[in-house]
Amino acid sequence: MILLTSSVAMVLALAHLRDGNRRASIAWLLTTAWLGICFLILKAVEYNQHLHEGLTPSVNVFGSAYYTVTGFHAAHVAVGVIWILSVALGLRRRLSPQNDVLVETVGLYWHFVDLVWVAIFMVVYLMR
Amino acid sequence: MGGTSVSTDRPEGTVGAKAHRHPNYVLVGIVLIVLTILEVSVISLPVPQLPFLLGFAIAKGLLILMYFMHLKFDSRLYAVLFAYPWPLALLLVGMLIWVYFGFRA
Repeated sequence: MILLTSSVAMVLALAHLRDGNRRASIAWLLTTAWLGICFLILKAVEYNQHLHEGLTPSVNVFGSAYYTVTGFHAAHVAVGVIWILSVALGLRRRLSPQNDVLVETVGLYWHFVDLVWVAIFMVVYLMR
Repeated sequence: MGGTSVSTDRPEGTVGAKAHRHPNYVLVGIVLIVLTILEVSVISLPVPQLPFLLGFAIAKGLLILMYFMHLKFDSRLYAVLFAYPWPLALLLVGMLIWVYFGFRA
C-alpha cells in the first residue's frame, strides 16, 4: 500500500507540473521519495525478522528466491528514490510544464517498480 | 486533480500522447487500495485463491498501466508494443512447464 500511495503522489507531481504548479509538484515528488524510503525501512525490518527466524538465502529454495526477488526489487526502489530526489532537489529550477519529461521519465520508472511489486506481493506473500 | 482541471497543450519532448483531462488519480489510488484489501482478505476465505489473486493483481496492474502510466491516453502503438510480448511470454512459460513435467514424468 505504501508503494501504491507513492504512485499516486508521483502522478500528482506530474499533473501539478503540467498545470504550472512547480512548488506542489516538488512537494509531491518529495512525498513519493519519502514513501519509498518508508518502504525500504519496512523491508529492512522484515529482512531482519526473517534472518532472526532462520530464513536465510541459503536455507532453502524459497529463501533464495525470496531474497533475490525482493532484494532486486528493493534495489530498484532505492535507485528510484535517489532519482526522484535528484529531480526534485537537483533539477528543481529546470522543472516546467514545457520540460516535464524529467518527471515523466522518473514517474514511468516508479510506476513500473510499483507494477512489479503488485506481482511480487501476490506470488511471494499471498500465494500458498 | 479531481478530474476538473485540463492539462495544457502537450509540451514538446513527449511523444505520442494526446492532451487530456487529468483523471481522478486519488480515486484510482483508493480503488487500488480497496483491491489490495480484498486481495489480502481472500487468503482467509474458503474459496479457490488462485483465480481471485490473479484477478485482483491483473486489475491492479491494468489500473496502474492505464492511468498512472497513462497508456490509456497514449498512442495506440504503445499499447500494441506492450501487449504483443505477452502471448510469447505465456507460450514460453507454458513450454517450460510442459518440459518440467515432461522430465519429471
